[in-house]
Amino acid sequence: MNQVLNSILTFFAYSVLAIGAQNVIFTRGLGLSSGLRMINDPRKDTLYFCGALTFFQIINSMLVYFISPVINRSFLSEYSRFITPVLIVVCCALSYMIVVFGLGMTIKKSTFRKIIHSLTGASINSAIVGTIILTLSSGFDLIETIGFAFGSSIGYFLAMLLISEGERKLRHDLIPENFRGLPVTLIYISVLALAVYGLTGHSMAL
Amino acid sequence: MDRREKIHNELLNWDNTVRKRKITLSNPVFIKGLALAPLALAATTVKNSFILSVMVILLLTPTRIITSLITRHMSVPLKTFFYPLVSALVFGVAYYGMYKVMGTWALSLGLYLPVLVVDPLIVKNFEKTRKESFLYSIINGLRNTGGFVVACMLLGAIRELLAFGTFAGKKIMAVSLLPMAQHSFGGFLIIGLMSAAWNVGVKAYKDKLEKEAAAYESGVK
Amino acid sequence: MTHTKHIKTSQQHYDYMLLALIPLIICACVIYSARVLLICATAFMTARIVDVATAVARKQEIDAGDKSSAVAALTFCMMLPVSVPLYIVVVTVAVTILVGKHIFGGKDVYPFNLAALAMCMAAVNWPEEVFKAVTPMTGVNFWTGAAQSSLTGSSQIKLGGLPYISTFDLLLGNHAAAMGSAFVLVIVSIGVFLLATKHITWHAPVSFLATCIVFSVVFPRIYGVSAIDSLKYEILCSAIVFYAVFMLNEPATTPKNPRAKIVFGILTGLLTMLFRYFGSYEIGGCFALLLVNATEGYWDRLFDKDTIHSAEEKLSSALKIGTKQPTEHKKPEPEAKTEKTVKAEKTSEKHTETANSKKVYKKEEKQPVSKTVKTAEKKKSAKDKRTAKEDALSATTTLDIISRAEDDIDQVMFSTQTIDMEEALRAFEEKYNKGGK
Repeated sequence: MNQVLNSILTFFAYSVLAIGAQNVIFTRGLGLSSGLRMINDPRKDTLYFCGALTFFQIINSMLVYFISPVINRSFLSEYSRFITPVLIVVCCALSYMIVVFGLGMTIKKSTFRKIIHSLTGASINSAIVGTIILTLSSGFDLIETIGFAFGSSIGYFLAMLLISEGERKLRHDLIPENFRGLPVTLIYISVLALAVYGLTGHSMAL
Repeated sequence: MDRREKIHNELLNWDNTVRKRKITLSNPVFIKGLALAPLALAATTVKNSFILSVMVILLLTPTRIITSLITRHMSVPLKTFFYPLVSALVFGVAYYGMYKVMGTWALSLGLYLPVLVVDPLIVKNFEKTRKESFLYSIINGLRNTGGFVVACMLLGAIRELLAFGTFAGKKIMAVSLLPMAQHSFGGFLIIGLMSAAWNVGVKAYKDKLEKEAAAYESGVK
Repeated sequence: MTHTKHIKTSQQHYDYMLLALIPLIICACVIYSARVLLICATAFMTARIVDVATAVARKQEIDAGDKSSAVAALTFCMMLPVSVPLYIVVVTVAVTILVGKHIFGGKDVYPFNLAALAMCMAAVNWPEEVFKAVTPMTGVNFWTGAAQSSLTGSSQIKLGGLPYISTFDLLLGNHAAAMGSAFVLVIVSIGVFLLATKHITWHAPVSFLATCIVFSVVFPRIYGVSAIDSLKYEILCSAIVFYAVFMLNEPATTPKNPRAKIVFGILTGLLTMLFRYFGSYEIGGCFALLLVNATEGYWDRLFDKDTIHSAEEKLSSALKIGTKQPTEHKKPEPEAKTEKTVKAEKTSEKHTETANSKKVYKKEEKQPVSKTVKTAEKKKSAKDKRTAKEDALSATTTLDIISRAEDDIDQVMFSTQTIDMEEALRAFEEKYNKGGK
């Protein structure tokens, strides 16, 4: 019983860490390019995109968690630093294909059309790859890995909500012409990143 | 082709002109907002920017050429699988090569080099069904690389100067004007400001062309 | 630009806030020396110079009545120690007014509280100078700011200690702290005055203070003292009362709806305490306020759907573009202004903009060139329409749909089209700012 409680606590502790101090967007900037494209793309839905991202994040983190030790024990262990990105990308691409074909065969075409735009881009992006590299290099165990992966996705979703909310405010004619669009959005993000920095007080190690 | 004709062509096909000039008019970083994670977090000094630039030089164009060759006749889902995979394989080789040449210096950017593998800067151009010719893949790959390298080096130099008062490690100013330039939020802020400066430049260039075109027109009349 | 009622009321607000800061400056001068005046004057002048320089650079009329920058600069000064070097004041105020105010559109529309932004910037850039507190009634060098410094009560709590300051001194502000944020009695009196004259409302400050108090009681940080003493130190040693009175009622950055203000206050209070407990800096309130400022519009929309709906309809008509979808792959949806519609507008705006930029050129280029452009455009649009229609009809298999999705990826661009802010402010004004009538 105690072990179960401890696992739940660990899961939430790592999730909260990933949502706040280690926020994937504001602290680490991961997945920002894809996120900004998603917000500016009328075909993509924030909820579907972040839902898909959460799913792929957790699945791929677990896959890499189990496969990575196999490489580390083999003759390739010396090169694991250089092979890990390949492994992560293979896992991401495979899970994307399985999910897309599974959904394509099982759900209605109209529903599929609605979500496919959000699936593409949410499956293979730097938020997922960066988080997995981080969990591997930090030596997290399975519960910590899943908790961190889950928290990263939720943190990504919350950050995207704040940025979308900001985009609504940043569309008026009083903003200097040359700052409209990308520049003012980035400056807005920089202020939010500054606010989140108040939690940690130091920059994350690279 | 005389100057007048050149200006007319540029203005008439403005979208095309913009697309071709990746370093200036459609810079992948300052205009399109690509590769923001590595630039905001890792491009804090000239040295870091140099490492990032070397990686993009080794990664972008070769990946683009290989994918244009091997995935030409593949169906879309297979392409989706192969594009990032090729990028990751090229990255693995490039990363190993950099490690052998530069030593642990090449590893100093931590996860911000590996995330380049799936950054829209590298992957975006491949997520299309349109077939890309061998020559076009080389030209466009080099243009994108050039745009990124210019942006990255400029950003690294400005941030290092503002945060530490140095340039490539050499002391230039006695005080650091804006220490926050070394942090992620400082990075976003400076990229945002530089993006606006880029917009000013693009607009000024277009205005100049339009004025010249108008002058030619009135001269002819 | 004709001034709306909103702008008039916001001007009144800033006039009174400026007036309200004067007693704090006087108290600070008495306790910490006349250097307070030097710092305030430097901040004030810097803010004004940046305002004027920006107006000149943007070729706009200089707005002599805009006091938002001055209020922000002086509020920021009140959170600094008297020993702070002047270059920190100049750089921080200049960067904040330029980046936090003018880049976001100037007065009445900037999204983040300027004083909070300035304080956060100063804290992360120069923490040692910004968090050094000066012992009251000790000598301070007028020009250099050299003074006898000591640990603030807030820092002592953060380090796990207990600040030995009497309640009387805490209320009077007679302890090592920032220049003007510790005079609790004076600040409360100013708050009551502003409330009585209806220049601030009670909703956000009271809900903010209540949340901080409840949080401090439920999760006490100071052990070995009674709950009341723990609460006393937690609230009075920090600048929480100062935040409540001076920073939670700014017209540009707080919600308009009273219920939204309450939620805004609660959220700010909660985050302030979390930042104070787990964050790295004593000024948790400033960091928290920046984060909650980002959600301000959402609370207004949530609690006043009718008003927001009508206001947004007006905005849509001001945009003079329909909510037509950008590509044939997505059906138009009738709902008012969901996230999707906003996105759709952005993309259609993009098309409008491209068309406009071509029109400008056509005008200057005379007949032959314009003809070529026009014909090329016509051909292109006819071709695009046909292709898109054919594409939409042929997209029946999973593979088709995936390839379509991936083809579309390259079409995304950042929107640079804007809405008429005058119209927006007027729409909100009709409901909320009755004081301006």
